[in-house]
Amino acid sequence: MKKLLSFLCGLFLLTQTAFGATDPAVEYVNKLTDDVIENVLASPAPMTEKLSSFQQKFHEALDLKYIGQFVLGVYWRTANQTQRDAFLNAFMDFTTKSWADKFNMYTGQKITFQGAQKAQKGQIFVNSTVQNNPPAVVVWRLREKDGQYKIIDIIVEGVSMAMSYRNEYASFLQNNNGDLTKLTQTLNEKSATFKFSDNKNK
Amino acid sequence: MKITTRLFTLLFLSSALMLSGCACESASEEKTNNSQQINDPYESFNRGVFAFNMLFDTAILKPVAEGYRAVTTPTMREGVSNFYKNLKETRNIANGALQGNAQKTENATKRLLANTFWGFFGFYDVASDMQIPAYDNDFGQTLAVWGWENSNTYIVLPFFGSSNPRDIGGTIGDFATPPSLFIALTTPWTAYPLSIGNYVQQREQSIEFIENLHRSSTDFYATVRTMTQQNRQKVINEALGKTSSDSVSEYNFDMDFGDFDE
Repeated sequence: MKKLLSFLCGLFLLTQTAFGATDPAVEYVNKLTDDVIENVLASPAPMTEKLSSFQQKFHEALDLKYIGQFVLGVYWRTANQTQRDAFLNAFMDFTTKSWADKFNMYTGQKITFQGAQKAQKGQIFVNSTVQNNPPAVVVWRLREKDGQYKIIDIIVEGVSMAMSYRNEYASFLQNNNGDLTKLTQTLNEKSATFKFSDNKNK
Repeated sequence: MKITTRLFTLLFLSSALMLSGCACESASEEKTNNSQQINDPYESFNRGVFAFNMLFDTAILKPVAEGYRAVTTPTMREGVSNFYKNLKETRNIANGALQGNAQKTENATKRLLANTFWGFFGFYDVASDMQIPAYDNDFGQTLAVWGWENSNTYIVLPFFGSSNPRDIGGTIGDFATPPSLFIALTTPWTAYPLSIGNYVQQREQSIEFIENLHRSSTDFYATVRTMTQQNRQKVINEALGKTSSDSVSEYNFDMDFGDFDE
């Protein structure tokens, strides 16, 4: 009986480890995506309400200040404080709208999680798959800040959001004599072009 | 004249047969080795070709794709997409075999047989219902498996989009894979509508995606370049048998800069 009990206990522990059910990073992203799907994407609320709810969740979950500095690369170091603040504000607003626009294409796909891997400097990669046709691999890069997880990159089918912005802005700045103010201005102009309405085409 | 026509047919057909599936994820196509490095020595030439491709897209391809969407239902479009994916299984079989990958060859063969015979010439994807997974395989991946792992010089081709020296070789190899070459040489009148049809149905799948990219980009050329290169690198990594943990280490570029301003 004792043997059976310890066998069952062992089996239970093994299953827990094997499926990573207790990994807090996986749990965090899982909860977050469930919350966004249930309360924003699949919600019958009007678009303006959904958008402001998405913006709030997006700002809470992502370390946009951190990402904003990374995407500027060397240009961050040479910028003065006013330019930095202006860029970060523009980048945060623009990224949020751009991702709201992306998520607007959501049509009920489910997300499954395959566990997490630790990287150096306390960073964590959470692996997931969006059950699309064909399925899409999505990796979430997190870092811990004040005991709280913050997303610093989302990698969809091998395409890193942070690296893509960094390469794009490097190209923009190279072609515009490193004029950060112009990049900021362009981002603000771009932000204004996003239109969200309750009618979806597809 | 005849040679020119035939070459054009070949170009169209191969691109149509090779692009299906991945065009919806990446505006056109792909490449590189290290996603952090941009190797674009022919940038001004590439930008010219890119502008041409965009013009072609705006003037012809996108409007036709929108027309196609207007006159079809989602179920019809899914059938058409399945049909083209099924045509591509011969390429998947050939490249699975060339890479010595028995699993991929077997799966692609099973998929081709199941979808062609039970799936009404491929219009129904019964193989996926039977849990036979699909892999996208091309000759560029085969060249990577054969040792040409790194090829990150960015090249934009007219109509084909993003590429690199290895994948240009891959594109040519894909021409030679049956049935593309066979159809193009024997019945070019079938090849034209078939390949144009594939272009259009793929473009239809990515209407919203590309519109979002346009809206989100300050330099569309640079955005497409980096995204297609990163996406292609993932495909190549998978062909090289790298596991997902290897892929994660691939994305693990240093995001921890010393002078981060909290």
